Parts: sequence; structure tokens; C-alpha cells
Amino acid sequence: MPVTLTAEATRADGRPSLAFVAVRVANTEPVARRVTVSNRLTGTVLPPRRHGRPARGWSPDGYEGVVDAGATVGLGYACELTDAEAPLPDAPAGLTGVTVPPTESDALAHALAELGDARPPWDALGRGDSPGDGGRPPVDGDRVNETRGETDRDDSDEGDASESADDSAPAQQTTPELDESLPTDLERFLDAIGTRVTAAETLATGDLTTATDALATLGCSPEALADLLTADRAVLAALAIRVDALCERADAVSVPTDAMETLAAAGDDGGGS
Amino acid sequence: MILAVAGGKGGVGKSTLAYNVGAALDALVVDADLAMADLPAGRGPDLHDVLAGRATAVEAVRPGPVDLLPCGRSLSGARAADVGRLAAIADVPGYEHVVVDSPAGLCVDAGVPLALADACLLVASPEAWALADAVAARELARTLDCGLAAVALNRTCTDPPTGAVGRVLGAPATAVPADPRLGRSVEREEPVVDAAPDSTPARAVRALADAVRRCAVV
Repeated sequence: MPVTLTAEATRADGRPSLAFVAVRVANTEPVARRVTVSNRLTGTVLPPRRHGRPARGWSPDGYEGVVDAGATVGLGYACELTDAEAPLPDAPAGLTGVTVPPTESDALAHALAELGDARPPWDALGRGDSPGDGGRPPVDGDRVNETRGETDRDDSDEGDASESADDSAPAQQTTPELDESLPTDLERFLDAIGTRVTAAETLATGDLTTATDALATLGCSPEALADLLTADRAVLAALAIRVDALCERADAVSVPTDAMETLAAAGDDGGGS
Repeated sequence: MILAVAGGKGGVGKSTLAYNVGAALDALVVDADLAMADLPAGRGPDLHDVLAGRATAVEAVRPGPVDLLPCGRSLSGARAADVGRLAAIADVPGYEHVVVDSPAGLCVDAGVPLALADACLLVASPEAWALADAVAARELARTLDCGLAAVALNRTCTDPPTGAVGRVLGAPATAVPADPRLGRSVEREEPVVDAAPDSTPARAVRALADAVRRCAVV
């Protein structure tokens, strides 16, 4: 056969339930072949790993990869056997597929198949977006950068790198203005407290029907609402103290941009890196 | 030649260096950070449109001090973008080099630029957390058959550990100093090689560009 496989299994010293399998796949054809190597031991395949992830080509069933024309590939893996007493078979692994390699580069195919999806989840798209709406053109109102908790901004520590608004973007009610908008998580946190406070005010001043509707919307008993508001008061008080202190410090400090410019220019005369 | 600028961790300066090294190479710079784009954009089609099949890569190019293929800023655009179409950036004629500003992390949006690129420029900063992620990015690049052209150790101050970083990552590391001119270069669209050609950061950027050119020749 143009593509052949040899395999040998040995038990680990002191651990009869663990087997090591050594495989060699030889391709004597004048073209590359994509091969599928399947484990035939009864147990869990423990493939080679890099940084905690199975190495490229490995799966719970075995290995899949390309063997160049006229080349031989050596593979190795471990197997956690379900029966430590059973004898090891003569053929612990087998060649179950030999095909033409795909035209798309292996690297791109591997990246698309193996790496995690980085797209924002549907829940993050907010009102107006739905699973069937993924093809619509982007709208200026739902800017990505203003909904993320961490930033990938690359600016130095000069503090002068505020995001510049797109001058052509039309004003929209749903678009927070720069410098005065709250981070989304904080906005949601305060909105939740506001909802509870509003419900409490309704209970205190409204009629029975209005109060009943408010509790139904909130989804809790009056006692539970009272407990939540007690906790909310404590959080808001602590937040107010912290915000006041930060405001005071922010008002008192200014970034020495001129001095940094002078230092940087002085450093240019000192030679290269 | 397609050069992916990667680093594994956000905030190390990938976009700034992609922009500035792109200027030094006279390259087309592609903002491939689909969910956190930060290179200058404007009206017209962007990479979200290209990856959703609504525009060609040529239509999305934005001429400027550095020619850019910017990315959209919307969550819905990021959701609809098919990163598997990123190979379209190679269809833009007239550029010897295409520099791809890759996103942070090790997901498919970071892997595809490495898979498409001929080589990568790894960006790290001297903090331990950044170096660990640069190592992971190096490993991902190796897995995707992407060679390492150069390493940039960004925002250095005194005694940058370029030797140690270069040995760990497998290529000579160039120290790029913390400098306000570099920090504002993207926002003002003023690459340091043009705005301050004799400055230390400009020399560092040119050294990185030279390393990339040598890699392209080989």
C-alpha cells in the first residue's frame, strides 16, 4: 500500500491502566496525503498538548494530518485504558482514512476549525438586533468600544488620548455622548437600583392596583424589596463616598504633558535603543 | 508580504506599532480587530462590510498618511463578519506589504491573521502579564505556520530586557520607548517616522521595518 501505518503500545511503568502508543505513518506516494489515524485501544486518548490545548490535528478519536510525499511521520499519544488487565492488541492504532489534502491552507482550516469564536454574543447586540438581523449594515448608534469593560487602546500614559467622535455620526438618543456617559455595566447597575426605588415609591404612594402591578413587574414580595433596598442604600452610600474622593483627586491633578515632551526630546539625543 | 502584528494581550501597543511600522514599510494597514477597532476610520465601506460580502477590499481602502483598511465599530457588524473571508486583503493591488493589526486573545479572529500572514511581529511590554501572553501568541503563530519576523518590546523605560525577551520568543527584540509622540501618532495620523524622523521611537520603528524586509527577502 502506498500509505502504511505501524503502531506499538506499551504500558507505563507502575501504571498498568496507562498505555503509550508510538505510531509511524509512511507515505510512499509522489503526492501529499491527508491521513486519519484512529485509536483502537479501549480508553481515553490523551494527546500531546501545548499550553494546555491538544496539539494541532489531535482529537478524542485520534489524529488527522498531512504526510508529505515520500515522507514518514512519527506520532505518539497516551491512552487511559478502561481495563488495566486486558492484554494490549497488536494493532493499537489504525489508518482509517487516506484522502487528498484540502486546497485551503491547513493553517487557515485549522484556525477556523479549532479556535474559539470571538464574535460578540447575540445578547450583547441590544434592542433592534436579532439572530435574523446579522446581515444589516452597522449603525453608528451601537458602537462597540463603548460597551466593552476593558480597552485595547495602545496610547502611552499621557492621558491625552480621548476617543475622537466621528464628526459625521448623527446624534441618536441611544448613543451616549463622550465624557458624560456611564460605562454600560455601571449604567445597568444603577438602573436596577432605580427600578427598585421606583417600585418602593409606588408602593408608598400608589393605590392597591398600582402597587400590585409594581410588585408583579418586580417579581418579589414587599419584604424582599425592603431587604434589597437596605442593601442598595449601603452600596450607594459607599459609592458616593468613593466618587466624591475621586472627584476631589481628579480636580486637583493635572498631567505634566509639557514636561514629558521635554523629557522625550532630551532622550532623542541620548542614542538609539 | 502579509505581516500580522500580534501579541496575545490587549493594551500592549499592537495598533500603534502596526500603524507606525506600516508607515515605515509604506504598507496598507488593515485593522482586523473586529470587535475593538481603533485605527482611524471614516465614511465608506470598512472591513465589516468586506467580511460580510457587502464590499470588496479595494473599496474599503482609505488613503491617508498611512493607507488604511479600517474596521467598523458596531457590535452587529462584528457579529456578521466572517473572519474566514479575511484573505480578501491580499487582493488589494499596489502594496508590497500588508500589515494586519490583529486582535488580542487566542480566538479565531486572532488566529486567522496569523494563518494568512507570511510572518508576524510580536508586540510585548516589559510587564510579566504581557510577556506570558506573547509566549502564547508565539505558540499560536508556530501552530499556524507563521514565522516570526521581529519582536517589539514596547513602552520601555530603562534597561529593557530585550535579550531575555528575544531568547524566550525566538527572535531579536527591539526596544520601543514610551513616548508621547508615538502615543498620539494614530489619533493624529502622524507616524513618528514622518513627524519625528530623528527620534528614538522613529529609529526603533525603522529597525522593526528593516527586520520585516529582511524576512521578506528570505
